[in-house]
Amino acid sequence: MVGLAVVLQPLTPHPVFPCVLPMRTPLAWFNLTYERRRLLTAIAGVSFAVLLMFMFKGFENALYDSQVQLLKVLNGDIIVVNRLKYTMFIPEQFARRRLYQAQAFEGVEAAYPLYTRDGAYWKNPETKAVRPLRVLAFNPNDPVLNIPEVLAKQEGLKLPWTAIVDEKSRAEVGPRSAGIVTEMAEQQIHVIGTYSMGTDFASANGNVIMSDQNFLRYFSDLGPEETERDLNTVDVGLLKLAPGADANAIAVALRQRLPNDISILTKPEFVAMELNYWRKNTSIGFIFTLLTTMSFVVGIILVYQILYTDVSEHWVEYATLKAIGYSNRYLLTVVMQQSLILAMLGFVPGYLIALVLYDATTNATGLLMNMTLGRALEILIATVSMCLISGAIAVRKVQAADPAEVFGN
Amino acid sequence: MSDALSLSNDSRTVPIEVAPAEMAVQICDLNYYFGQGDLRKQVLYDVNLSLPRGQIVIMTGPSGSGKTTLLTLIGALRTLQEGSLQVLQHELVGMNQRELVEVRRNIGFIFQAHNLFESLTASQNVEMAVELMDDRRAKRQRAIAMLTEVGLAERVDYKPKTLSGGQKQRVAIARALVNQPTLILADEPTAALDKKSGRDVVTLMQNLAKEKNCTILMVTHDNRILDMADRIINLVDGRLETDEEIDHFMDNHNPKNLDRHMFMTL
Amino acid sequence: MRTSLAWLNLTHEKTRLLVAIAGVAFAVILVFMNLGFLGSLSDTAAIAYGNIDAEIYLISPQALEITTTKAFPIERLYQASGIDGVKRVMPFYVGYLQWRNVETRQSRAMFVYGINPNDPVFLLPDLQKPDVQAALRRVDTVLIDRLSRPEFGPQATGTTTEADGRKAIVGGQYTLGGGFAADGSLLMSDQNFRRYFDPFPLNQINLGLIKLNDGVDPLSVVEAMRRTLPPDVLVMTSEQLIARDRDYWINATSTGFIFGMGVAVSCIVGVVIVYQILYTDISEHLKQYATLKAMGYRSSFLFNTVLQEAIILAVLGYIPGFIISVMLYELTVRATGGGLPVAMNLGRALFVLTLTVLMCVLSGLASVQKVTKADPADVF
Repeated sequence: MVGLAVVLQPLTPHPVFPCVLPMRTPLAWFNLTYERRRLLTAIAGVSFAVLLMFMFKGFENALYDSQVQLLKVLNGDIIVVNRLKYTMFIPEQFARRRLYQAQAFEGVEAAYPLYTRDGAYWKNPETKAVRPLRVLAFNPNDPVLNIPEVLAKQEGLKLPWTAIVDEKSRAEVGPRSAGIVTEMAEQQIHVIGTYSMGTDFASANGNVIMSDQNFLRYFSDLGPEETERDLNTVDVGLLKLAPGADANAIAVALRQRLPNDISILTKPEFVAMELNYWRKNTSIGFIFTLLTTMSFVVGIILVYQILYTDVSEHWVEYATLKAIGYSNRYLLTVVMQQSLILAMLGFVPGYLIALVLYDATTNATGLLMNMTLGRALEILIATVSMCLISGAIAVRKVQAADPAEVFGN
Repeated sequence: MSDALSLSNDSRTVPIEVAPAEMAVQICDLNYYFGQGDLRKQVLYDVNLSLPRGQIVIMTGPSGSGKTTLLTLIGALRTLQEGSLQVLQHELVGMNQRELVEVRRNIGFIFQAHNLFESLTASQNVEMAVELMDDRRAKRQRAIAMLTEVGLAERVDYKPKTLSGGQKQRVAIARALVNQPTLILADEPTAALDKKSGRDVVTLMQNLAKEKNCTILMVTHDNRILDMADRIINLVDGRLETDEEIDHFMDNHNPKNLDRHMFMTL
Repeated sequence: MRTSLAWLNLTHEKTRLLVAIAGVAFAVILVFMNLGFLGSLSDTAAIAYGNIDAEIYLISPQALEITTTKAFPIERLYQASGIDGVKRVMPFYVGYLQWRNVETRQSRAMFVYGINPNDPVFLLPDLQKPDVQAALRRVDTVLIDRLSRPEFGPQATGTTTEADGRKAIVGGQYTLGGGFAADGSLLMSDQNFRRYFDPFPLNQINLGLIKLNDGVDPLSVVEAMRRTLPPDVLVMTSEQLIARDRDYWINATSTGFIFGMGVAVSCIVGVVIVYQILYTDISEHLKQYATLKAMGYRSSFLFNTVLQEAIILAVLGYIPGFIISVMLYELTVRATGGGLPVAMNLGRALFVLTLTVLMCVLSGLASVQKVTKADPADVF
């Protein structure tokens, strides 16, 4: 810590205020920075190791974030789903009357049913190729989704055979602006607007919003190999509570009184449940944890290489310092200071490039790649640890510098 | 020349000797070995030596004779187990690393190579020594003053890359002398210098010896500077062969006929 | 043989060399892991089709990949059977069922293959066993993939559970595996398929499998079929179908972008590591190189030395990188209970080797400038 404070102080003694005690010569800083090219290579190395960690962690988070972005915009304080539906992927519905039963409870102001269907075939108006989209349907009068563009299209959605399309749907879905007419589930559909949400694994191609009546029109009378839907079975039920109501308490009350063929969760619990599925029950967690760990190890090797080279090259000088009377501990602090400086100098460009990368990925893939303060801090801590570990290993070499060998040859 | 009185090996408590403050270095029955067990090889045999304050001593001898080893021992750079070696009133035998480091701070080392940090200016390299004494306030002034004394006033903010070989060595010497040590150990200090620089440096050391009562022990083959010494000791195969006052030495040795083993003319 | 200066320079400092090898090795591992994951995620079709005894496939043009297919009339398959060279045609049904784990009582989407038990569709050894064949024909009895994720629950013969609300009994096991989309699978008879996917008429199929006579060229038969059959079915060889499937996966799920980027950045890191080593080596030995020049060696000699060092590093780093990657692949398969079937193949091994050498040569070229500047006059 002292070393760090030392590095951060101004470099030369102040000519006007001589009472300011000049600091110790920052040998760590000078040794690290006096050769331009070497320094740039070192910074490049550390930044890219940092970038790797940001990248893999970022992809992992993007996959998780994408899965819950729909959940987060659901306008409900308590969520009701079929007990078997522990992830949105599972197409289980529950009886609509459960919502009526829940509505009767104190504190519950309103109950909105949300109908979903995965794999509704949408025809690209230009190429005529079909892609499966996810359909979200509800009564346009119910403020089911907290998205302004959706609320704005309330009236339009009441018209038959209309829908609004997620503009972040994949390019293969084709043009999707208002006025486009094409086919969904082999029936005509009119696009009356767009909104913005994003894709995820379940709806990898895109999302479409329509009214519940339209949902019936498209999905209640299908061919023999498709499952039909009606409005009495609901995929996701949203309960809106009175302002100031305690969601947890009401959820508990509901669980006690309502039959257990449904799950009752507060919205944060619902989101957590979904995230948990993706983290624990799929390979995503394993893959990206492995990749991030490898990046961490690569970083350690990189930094160690830099520190080791510095110690090797200045072997004789460091031994001389020992002969003059500097203790081993001083040399340890020089090495550790260097590792910390590397951590800081490498983190900043790594972070900046990561920001650019996140943006590029979001645009190219539709996945939601977000940098948050928490995530940046997480990687910063990893970077510092990485450098400290390298420093600790490199320090052993510097301790071996024998001052007696400086004499003679 | 005052002979070293036999000191008991356990002399850490009270140094009992005639005029103790005079002796910068006091060595008694020193034996030193390299390696351990069956591979143990002895390099110093029964060395007895006393160096008073303010004396300038030149140590000569063929290569492999143990001069460098003795120098490193006096410089508190190695741990010792046998015999007695007192440096500036500190008994080095049995000291641990930390204590040895403390002793080193009072000694000025001058090496054959300059061993400066390429990344630091001349002034900064010298300041590294000043900082050791925790004197940060005046470190730059003291560094500049010392560099001026060695004739490098114009070059204080130059990095070693832009200095000549001789200049670099002078910076190293400035570094060694800036804390005004009471004992200076030098290993071929003038080997890399031309005649004039070498002379200047040596004169500087001489002044320090006389003004500050600083003891100088120098290993050298440079017979141009023989005359600055008060005393010449000769180490052969780990034993102190001769130990003479300079006049005596000069009387007995014609520099031109010197045994090639002892000196190399540069 | 002339002493290899490159080799000597590199091996001179043991620790430095080890660190360098470690650096290259880990960059190699990163690339292998990225490619491995990318491959396994999109391998569902490759694994399934790779174990099916058919050369030509019929699918609906609207089918995207193996798990999103559209049923088409079985007539097309009968029409195809009339073409020269066709030995046998077999219908193939696929779909998802919610399979309940009897222990945790939770359901998870299980991918289902439906076949006519008399058709030799799959080349799996387990299917040759008579008791397995018998199980396949029993009502409400299914075979389960041993490599299904542990979340699907017990796989022992006799386990009784529910699939989409209907009773299901495990009659036997087979070993197949599937990528991300099918991290668990069942095999059942077409009769059972119709029951579980009711209403599902068996005259609509998801895929048509066509086995050719020995020695017949699949491509020419494909041509013939494309001429004969109406455009509401696509005709493809199994390679073409697998490639189509892979492409879809890689693009639709963005995994291509993600892991592609992973590979790119890992390579950059590799370049930086090697550059660092070479540059340091050159700096340290500048005097020696200059001396060589003074002796009469040409710049090109030094150039070659640096490139040699780069290539030696590449190879020395690739070998441990390859070995550890194979071990990590194994670890992945175990840790995910078979859900991620990552496997090394020759193509990938060679690709990464080429990449590694390129990586190192690039660094070599970048650092070689310094060596050509070594001035013999400076030695004096």
